[in-house]
Amino acid sequence: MTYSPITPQSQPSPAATQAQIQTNFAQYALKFLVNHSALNTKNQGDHESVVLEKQASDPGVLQDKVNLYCKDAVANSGTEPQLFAQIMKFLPTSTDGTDAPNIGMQLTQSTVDTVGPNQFQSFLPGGYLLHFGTVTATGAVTLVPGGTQILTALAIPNNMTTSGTPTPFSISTAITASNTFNINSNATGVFSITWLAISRA
Amino acid sequence: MTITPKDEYDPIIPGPNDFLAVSQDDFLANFGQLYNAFARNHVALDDTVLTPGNHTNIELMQQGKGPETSVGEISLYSKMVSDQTNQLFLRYQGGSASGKEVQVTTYQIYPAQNLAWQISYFTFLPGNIIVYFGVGDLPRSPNKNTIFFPPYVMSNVISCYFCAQSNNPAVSPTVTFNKDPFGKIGAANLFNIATGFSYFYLVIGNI
Repeated sequence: MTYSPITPQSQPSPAATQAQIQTNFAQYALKFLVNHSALNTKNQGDHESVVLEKQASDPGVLQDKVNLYCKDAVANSGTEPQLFAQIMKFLPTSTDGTDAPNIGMQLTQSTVDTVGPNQFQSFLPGGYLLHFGTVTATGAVTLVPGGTQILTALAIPNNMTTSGTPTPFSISTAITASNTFNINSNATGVFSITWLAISRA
Repeated sequence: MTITPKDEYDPIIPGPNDFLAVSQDDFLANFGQLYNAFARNHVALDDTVLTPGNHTNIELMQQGKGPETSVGEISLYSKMVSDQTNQLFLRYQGGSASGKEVQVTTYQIYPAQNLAWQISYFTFLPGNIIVYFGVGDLPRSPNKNTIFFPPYVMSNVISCYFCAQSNNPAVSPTVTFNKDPFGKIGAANLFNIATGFSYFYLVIGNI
Protein backbone atom coordinates (compact mmCIF):
# COMPACT_ATOMS: atom_id res chain seq x y z
CA MET A 1 0.00 0.00 0.00
CA THR A 2 1.05 3.58 -0.57
CA TYR A 3 0.49 6.69 1.50
CA SER A 4 -3.15 7.82 1.49
CA PRO A 5 -3.83 11.37 2.65
CA ILE A 6 -7.59 10.77 2.74
CA THR A 7 -7.55 8.09 5.40
CA PRO A 8 -9.34 7.25 7.64
CA GLN A 9 -12.83 8.10 6.44
CA SER A 10 -15.90 8.13 8.69
CA GLN A 11 -17.08 4.86 7.21
CA PRO A 12 -16.17 2.11 7.67
CA SER A 13 -15.02 2.10 11.28
CA PRO A 14 -11.49 3.52 11.65
CA ALA A 15 -10.59 0.26 13.20
CA ALA A 16 -11.10 -1.31 9.81
CA THR A 17 -8.49 0.98 8.29
CA GLN A 18 -5.84 0.19 10.86
CA ALA A 19 -3.60 -1.26 8.18
CA GLN A 20 -3.78 1.89 6.04
CA ILE A 21 -3.04 4.09 9.05
CA GLN A 22 0.00 1.99 9.81
CA THR A 23 1.01 2.12 6.17
CA ASN A 24 0.77 5.92 6.20
CA PHE A 25 3.07 6.23 9.20
CA ALA A 26 5.51 3.74 7.71
CA GLN A 27 5.44 5.27 4.24
CA TYR A 28 5.93 8.76 5.61
CA ALA A 29 9.04 7.68 7.50
CA LEU A 30 10.32 5.84 4.45
CA LYS A 31 9.81 8.71 2.01
CA PHE A 32 11.10 11.25 4.49
CA LEU A 33 14.51 9.61 4.73
CA VAL A 34 15.08 10.19 1.01
CA ASN A 35 17.49 13.18 0.98
CA HIS A 36 16.89 13.71 4.72
CA SER A 37 18.21 12.34 7.98
CA ALA A 38 15.68 9.75 9.06
CA LEU A 39 13.07 10.22 11.74
CA ASN A 40 14.22 9.09 15.19
CA THR A 41 17.86 9.89 14.43
CA LYS A 42 19.92 12.62 16.05
CA ASN A 43 19.75 14.94 13.04
CA GLN A 44 16.23 14.07 11.88
CA GLY A 45 14.98 16.58 9.35
CA ASP A 46 18.44 17.72 8.24
CA HIS A 47 19.36 17.22 4.62
CA GLU A 48 21.98 14.60 3.83
CA SER A 49 21.86 15.27 0.12
CA VAL A 50 19.55 17.01 -2.29
CA VAL A 51 18.38 15.37 -5.48
CA LEU A 52 16.57 17.89 -7.66
CA GLU A 53 14.04 16.68 -10.20
CA LYS A 54 14.26 18.58 -13.50
CA GLN A 55 11.77 21.43 -13.89
CA ALA A 56 10.32 22.48 -17.24
CA SER A 57 10.54 26.21 -16.47
CA ASP A 58 11.63 28.75 -13.87
CA PRO A 59 9.39 28.29 -10.82
CA GLY A 60 9.28 32.01 -9.98
CA VAL A 61 9.89 33.88 -6.73
CA LEU A 62 7.39 36.27 -5.21
CA GLN A 63 8.62 36.48 -1.63
CA ASP A 64 11.92 37.25 0.09
CA LYS A 65 13.59 33.98 -0.68
CA VAL A 66 15.96 32.20 -3.03
CA ASN A 67 14.67 29.37 -5.18
CA LEU A 68 17.13 26.66 -6.23
CA TYR A 69 16.13 24.20 -8.91
CA CYS A 70 17.36 22.21 -11.86
CA LYS A 71 16.43 22.84 -15.46
CA ASP A 72 17.74 21.89 -18.89
CA ALA A 73 20.39 24.24 -20.24
CA VAL A 74 21.41 24.23 -23.87
CA ALA A 75 25.16 24.17 -24.52
CA ASN A 76 27.49 23.31 -27.35
CA SER A 77 28.39 20.13 -25.48
CA GLY A 78 24.72 19.12 -25.33
CA THR A 79 21.58 19.86 -23.37
CA GLU A 80 21.76 18.80 -19.75
CA PRO A 81 20.04 19.72 -16.49
CA GLN A 82 21.95 22.40 -14.57
CA LEU A 83 21.53 24.09 -11.20
CA PHE A 84 19.68 27.41 -11.33
CA ALA A 85 18.89 30.07 -8.73
CA GLN A 86 16.05 32.54 -8.92
CA ILE A 87 15.72 35.55 -6.66
CA MET A 88 12.99 38.07 -6.17
CA LYS A 89 12.90 40.94 -8.66
CA PHE A 90 14.61 44.05 -7.30
CA LEU A 91 15.51 46.02 -10.43
CA PRO A 92 15.33 48.84 -11.36
CA THR A 93 17.15 50.66 -8.56
CA SER A 94 18.54 54.18 -8.19
CA THR A 95 21.91 53.04 -9.57
CA ASP A 96 20.67 50.53 -12.16
CA GLY A 97 17.62 51.62 -14.12
CA THR A 98 17.32 48.35 -16.00
CA ASP A 99 13.90 46.79 -15.51
CA ALA A 100 15.43 43.33 -15.63
CA PRO A 101 13.17 40.36 -14.90
CA ASN A 102 14.22 37.90 -12.25
CA ILE A 103 15.00 35.14 -14.71
CA GLY A 104 16.74 32.07 -13.39
CA MET A 105 20.50 32.35 -13.10
CA GLN A 106 22.35 29.28 -14.33
CA LEU A 107 24.97 28.45 -11.70
CA THR A 108 26.65 25.36 -13.15
CA GLN A 109 27.89 23.91 -16.40
CA SER A 110 28.79 20.33 -17.25
CA THR A 111 32.27 20.68 -18.66
CA VAL A 112 35.16 21.21 -16.25
CA ASP A 113 38.83 20.42 -16.90
CA THR A 114 41.16 20.79 -13.96
CA VAL A 115 43.74 18.32 -15.26
CA GLY A 116 45.37 20.44 -17.94
CA PRO A 117 48.30 20.57 -18.20
CA ASN A 118 48.25 23.43 -20.70
CA GLN A 119 44.56 24.24 -20.88
CA PHE A 120 41.98 24.31 -18.11
CA GLN A 121 38.27 24.95 -18.05
CA SER A 122 35.64 25.85 -15.51
CA PHE A 123 32.37 27.76 -15.64
CA LEU A 124 30.87 31.06 -14.60
CA PRO A 125 27.27 31.76 -13.59
CA GLY A 126 25.09 32.75 -16.49
CA GLY A 127 25.99 29.90 -18.84
CA TYR A 128 29.57 30.92 -19.53
CA LEU A 129 32.69 28.79 -19.85
CA LEU A 130 35.99 30.03 -18.46
CA HIS A 131 39.05 28.72 -20.32
CA PHE A 132 42.60 29.47 -19.26
CA GLY A 133 46.12 28.22 -19.72
CA THR A 134 49.64 28.97 -20.84
CA VAL A 135 51.40 28.69 -24.20
CA THR A 136 55.05 28.94 -25.15
CA ALA A 137 54.42 29.83 -28.78
CA THR A 138 52.21 32.26 -30.59
CA GLY A 139 49.48 31.01 -32.88
CA ALA A 140 46.12 29.34 -32.58
CA VAL A 141 44.60 28.28 -29.26
CA THR A 142 41.76 25.81 -29.72
CA LEU A 143 39.37 25.49 -26.81
CA VAL A 144 38.46 21.87 -26.18
CA PRO A 145 35.63 21.42 -25.51
CA GLY A 146 34.61 24.79 -26.85
CA GLY A 147 31.42 26.74 -26.40
CA THR A 148 29.14 28.21 -29.01
CA GLN A 149 30.97 31.55 -29.20
CA ILE A 150 34.10 33.12 -27.72
CA LEU A 151 33.15 36.40 -26.07
CA THR A 152 36.52 37.65 -24.88
CA ALA A 153 40.08 36.43 -25.29
CA LEU A 154 42.98 37.87 -23.33
CA ALA A 155 46.68 37.09 -23.41
CA ILE A 156 49.43 38.39 -21.17
CA PRO A 157 53.16 37.92 -21.84
CA ASN A 158 55.07 36.56 -18.87
CA ASN A 159 58.48 37.67 -20.17
CA MET A 160 60.14 40.87 -21.33
CA THR A 161 62.45 41.70 -24.16
CA THR A 162 66.08 40.85 -23.47
CA SER A 163 67.81 43.26 -25.79
CA GLY A 164 68.29 46.83 -24.64
CA THR A 165 66.01 48.07 -21.89
CA PRO A 166 63.65 45.21 -20.97
CA THR A 167 60.08 46.00 -21.96
CA PRO A 168 56.97 43.81 -21.99
CA PHE A 169 56.37 41.98 -25.21
CA SER A 170 53.56 43.35 -27.35
CA ILE A 171 50.58 41.06 -27.70
CA SER A 172 47.12 40.78 -29.21
CA THR A 173 44.43 38.21 -29.81
CA ALA A 174 42.00 37.62 -32.65
CA ILE A 175 39.00 35.28 -32.52
CA THR A 176 38.97 33.10 -35.63
CA ALA A 177 36.24 30.54 -34.88
CA SER A 178 33.69 29.60 -32.25
CA ASN A 179 36.37 27.72 -30.34
CA THR A 180 39.64 29.17 -31.64
CA PHE A 181 41.58 32.37 -31.22
CA ASN A 182 45.04 33.41 -32.29
CA ILE A 183 47.67 34.85 -29.99
CA ASN A 184 50.00 37.30 -31.74
CA SER A 185 53.15 38.68 -30.16
CA ASN A 186 56.61 39.98 -30.96
CA ALA A 187 57.97 37.59 -28.33
CA THR A 188 61.08 35.72 -29.38
CA GLY A 189 63.33 33.15 -27.80
CA VAL A 190 62.05 31.33 -24.73
CA PHE A 191 58.86 32.89 -23.45
CA SER A 192 55.48 32.01 -22.03
CA ILE A 193 52.12 33.67 -22.46
CA THR A 194 49.22 33.31 -20.07
CA TRP A 195 45.79 33.42 -21.65
CA LEU A 196 42.17 33.47 -20.57
CA ALA A 197 38.99 33.28 -22.62
CA ILE A 198 35.29 33.30 -21.81
CA SER A 199 32.81 31.69 -24.14
CA ARG A 200 29.09 31.20 -24.18
CA ALA A 201 28.40 27.57 -23.36
CA MET B 1 -3.03 16.33 -5.87
CA THR B 2 -3.73 18.92 -3.18
CA ILE B 3 -5.57 17.80 -0.10
CA THR B 4 -7.66 20.25 1.90
CA PRO B 5 -7.61 19.06 5.47
CA LYS B 6 -10.12 20.75 7.70
CA ASP B 7 -7.74 21.39 10.61
CA GLU B 8 -4.13 22.18 11.27
CA TYR B 9 -1.67 19.42 12.03
CA ASP B 10 -2.19 18.25 15.60
CA PRO B 11 0.88 16.51 17.02
CA ILE B 12 -0.79 15.26 20.20
CA ILE B 13 -3.54 13.03 18.88
CA PRO B 14 -4.91 10.62 19.72
CA GLY B 15 -5.37 11.25 23.43
CA PRO B 16 -4.60 8.37 25.78
CA ASN B 17 -8.26 7.68 26.44
CA ASP B 18 -9.58 8.32 22.95
CA PHE B 19 -11.25 5.58 21.03
CA LEU B 20 -9.78 5.31 17.57
CA ALA B 21 -13.19 6.20 16.18
CA VAL B 22 -13.16 9.46 18.14
CA SER B 23 -9.82 10.45 16.61
CA GLN B 24 -10.86 9.71 13.05
CA ASP B 25 -11.11 13.38 12.08
CA ASP B 26 -7.77 14.13 13.70
CA PHE B 27 -6.01 11.32 11.89
CA LEU B 28 -7.52 12.40 8.62
CA ALA B 29 -6.49 16.01 9.18
CA ASN B 30 -2.96 15.06 10.17
CA PHE B 31 -2.40 12.77 7.23
CA GLY B 32 -3.67 15.51 4.94
CA GLN B 33 -1.45 18.14 6.54
CA LEU B 34 1.61 15.92 6.35
CA TYR B 35 0.89 15.23 2.71
CA ASN B 36 0.52 18.90 1.80
CA ALA B 37 3.51 20.08 3.81
CA PHE B 38 5.72 17.38 2.37
CA ALA B 39 4.58 18.21 -1.16
CA ARG B 40 6.16 21.66 -0.89
CA ASN B 41 9.60 21.47 -2.54
CA HIS B 42 9.36 17.65 -2.66
CA VAL B 43 8.02 14.98 -4.95
CA ALA B 44 4.65 14.03 -3.42
CA LEU B 45 4.37 11.08 -1.08
CA ASP B 46 2.16 9.12 -3.44
CA ASP B 47 3.97 9.94 -6.70
CA THR B 48 4.45 6.71 -8.61
CA VAL B 49 6.71 8.09 -11.36
CA LEU B 50 9.34 10.15 -9.56
CA THR B 51 10.98 9.39 -6.24
CA PRO B 52 9.02 10.74 -3.26
CA GLY B 53 11.44 12.60 -1.00
CA ASN B 54 13.49 13.98 -3.88
CA HIS B 55 13.21 17.70 -4.30
CA THR B 56 11.39 19.57 -7.04
CA ASN B 57 13.08 22.77 -5.95
CA ILE B 58 14.41 24.36 -2.77
CA GLU B 59 12.82 27.56 -1.53
CA LEU B 60 15.06 29.18 1.05
CA MET B 61 13.22 31.65 3.23
CA GLN B 62 15.07 34.82 4.19
CA GLN B 63 17.17 34.40 7.32
CA GLY B 64 18.20 37.27 9.54
CA LYS B 65 21.42 35.47 10.38
CA GLY B 66 23.05 32.43 8.85
CA PRO B 67 22.37 29.25 10.80
CA GLU B 68 25.25 28.03 12.96
CA THR B 69 27.00 24.94 11.68
CA SER B 70 28.64 22.12 13.57
CA VAL B 71 31.62 20.02 12.61
CA GLY B 72 30.73 18.03 9.51
CA GLU B 73 28.00 20.42 8.39
CA ILE B 74 27.69 23.21 5.88
CA SER B 75 24.54 25.26 5.43
CA LEU B 76 22.93 26.98 2.47
CA TYR B 77 20.51 29.77 3.20
CA SER B 78 19.12 33.01 1.87
CA LYS B 79 19.81 36.43 3.32
CA MET B 80 18.95 39.98 2.30
CA VAL B 81 21.75 41.95 0.62
CA SER B 82 21.65 45.74 0.80
CA ASP B 83 20.29 47.45 -2.33
CA GLN B 84 19.46 44.07 -3.87
CA THR B 85 17.27 41.27 -2.62
CA ASN B 86 17.81 37.86 -1.11
CA GLN B 87 20.93 36.09 -2.25
CA LEU B 88 22.25 32.59 -1.67
CA PHE B 89 24.79 32.20 1.14
CA LEU B 90 26.90 29.30 2.33
CA ARG B 91 28.34 28.80 5.79
CA TYR B 92 31.28 26.43 6.13
CA GLN B 93 31.78 23.81 8.79
CA GLY B 94 31.54 25.26 12.27
CA GLY B 95 32.41 23.79 15.62
CA SER B 96 34.76 25.49 18.02
CA ALA B 97 35.19 28.34 15.56
CA SER B 98 32.19 29.83 13.84
CA GLY B 99 31.88 28.67 10.25
CA LYS B 100 32.86 31.30 7.71
CA GLU B 101 30.00 32.78 5.70
CA VAL B 102 30.33 33.23 1.92
CA GLN B 103 27.87 34.97 -0.37
CA VAL B 104 27.39 32.58 -3.29
CA THR B 105 25.21 34.60 -5.67
CA THR B 106 25.45 38.30 -6.42
CA TYR B 107 23.15 40.78 -8.05
CA GLN B 108 20.97 39.55 -10.93
CA ILE B 109 22.41 38.28 -14.18
CA TYR B 110 20.70 39.70 -17.24
CA PRO B 111 21.82 40.71 -20.74
CA ALA B 112 24.00 43.75 -20.15
CA GLN B 113 23.36 46.99 -21.97
CA ASN B 114 25.24 46.93 -25.26
CA LEU B 115 26.64 50.24 -26.42
CA ALA B 116 27.22 51.19 -30.03
CA TRP B 117 30.96 50.69 -29.62
CA GLN B 118 31.01 47.88 -27.09
CA ILE B 119 29.68 44.36 -26.47
CA SER B 120 29.25 43.90 -22.73
CA TYR B 121 28.72 40.91 -20.46
CA PHE B 122 28.80 40.44 -16.74
CA THR B 123 28.61 37.63 -14.25
CA PHE B 124 29.65 37.07 -10.64
CA LEU B 125 31.93 34.97 -8.49
CA PRO B 126 31.24 33.79 -4.94
CA GLY B 127 32.25 36.42 -2.41
CA ASN B 128 30.16 39.33 -3.68
CA ILE B 129 32.43 39.73 -6.70
CA ILE B 130 31.21 41.01 -10.04
CA VAL B 131 33.00 40.23 -13.31
CA TYR B 132 32.71 42.39 -16.41
CA PHE B 133 33.98 41.22 -19.77
CA GLY B 134 33.56 41.86 -23.47
CA VAL B 135 35.14 43.91 -26.20
CA GLY B 136 35.22 47.66 -26.83
CA ASP B 137 35.78 49.29 -30.21
CA LEU B 138 37.82 52.17 -28.81
CA PRO B 139 37.96 54.36 -31.93
CA ARG B 140 34.15 54.69 -31.73
CA SER B 141 34.03 55.21 -27.95
CA PRO B 142 33.92 58.58 -26.13
CA ASN B 143 37.40 60.11 -26.20
CA LYS B 144 38.36 57.11 -28.35
CA ASN B 145 39.66 55.30 -25.28
CA THR B 146 36.72 54.48 -22.98
CA ILE B 147 35.24 51.16 -21.92
CA PHE B 148 32.07 51.12 -19.82
CA PHE B 149 30.96 48.55 -17.25
CA PRO B 150 27.20 48.13 -17.22
CA PRO B 151 25.44 47.63 -14.85
CA TYR B 152 27.11 50.45 -12.98
CA VAL B 153 27.29 48.89 -9.51
CA MET B 154 31.02 48.26 -8.99
CA SER B 155 32.43 49.97 -5.90
CA ASN B 156 36.06 49.06 -6.33
CA VAL B 157 38.28 47.28 -8.83
CA ILE B 158 40.16 44.19 -7.68
CA SER B 159 41.85 43.24 -10.93
CA CYS B 160 41.70 44.13 -14.63
CA TYR B 161 42.99 42.81 -17.94
CA PHE B 162 42.98 44.44 -21.35
CA CYS B 163 44.25 42.97 -24.60
CA ALA B 164 44.26 44.33 -28.15
CA GLN B 165 41.94 42.58 -30.59
CA SER B 166 44.04 42.40 -33.73
CA ASN B 167 46.39 40.31 -35.79
CA ASN B 168 49.10 42.83 -34.96
CA PRO B 169 50.54 42.80 -31.44
CA ALA B 170 50.35 45.94 -29.33
CA VAL B 171 51.87 46.99 -26.03
CA SER B 172 49.70 46.59 -22.94
CA PRO B 173 47.72 49.75 -22.19
CA THR B 174 47.69 51.68 -18.97
CA VAL B 175 44.30 52.42 -17.44
CA THR B 176 42.47 54.80 -15.13
CA PHE B 177 39.02 54.12 -13.69
CA ASN B 178 36.24 56.68 -13.43
CA LYS B 179 33.62 56.99 -10.69
CA ASP B 180 30.09 58.13 -11.47
CA PRO B 181 28.03 60.48 -9.27
CA PHE B 182 26.85 57.47 -7.22
CA GLY B 183 30.45 56.61 -6.37
CA LYS B 184 30.39 53.57 -8.63
CA ILE B 185 33.19 52.75 -11.07
CA GLY B 186 31.38 52.83 -14.36
CA ALA B 187 34.13 53.22 -16.93
CA ALA B 188 37.85 52.99 -17.68
CA ASN B 189 40.05 55.08 -19.89
CA LEU B 190 42.86 53.26 -21.67
CA PHE B 191 46.12 54.95 -22.56
CA ASN B 192 49.14 53.94 -24.57
CA ILE B 193 46.79 52.12 -26.92
CA ALA B 194 47.32 51.16 -30.52
CA THR B 195 45.46 53.49 -32.86
CA GLY B 196 42.33 52.01 -34.33
CA PHE B 197 42.30 48.85 -32.21
CA SER B 198 39.48 47.25 -30.30
CA TYR B 199 40.31 45.82 -26.88
CA PHE B 200 39.06 42.76 -25.07
CA TYR B 201 38.60 43.35 -21.37
CA LEU B 202 38.01 41.50 -18.10
CA VAL B 203 37.49 43.51 -14.94
CA ILE B 204 36.85 42.00 -11.50
CA GLY B 205 35.47 44.08 -8.66
CA ASN B 206 33.23 44.32 -5.62
CA ILE B 207 29.70 45.63 -5.65
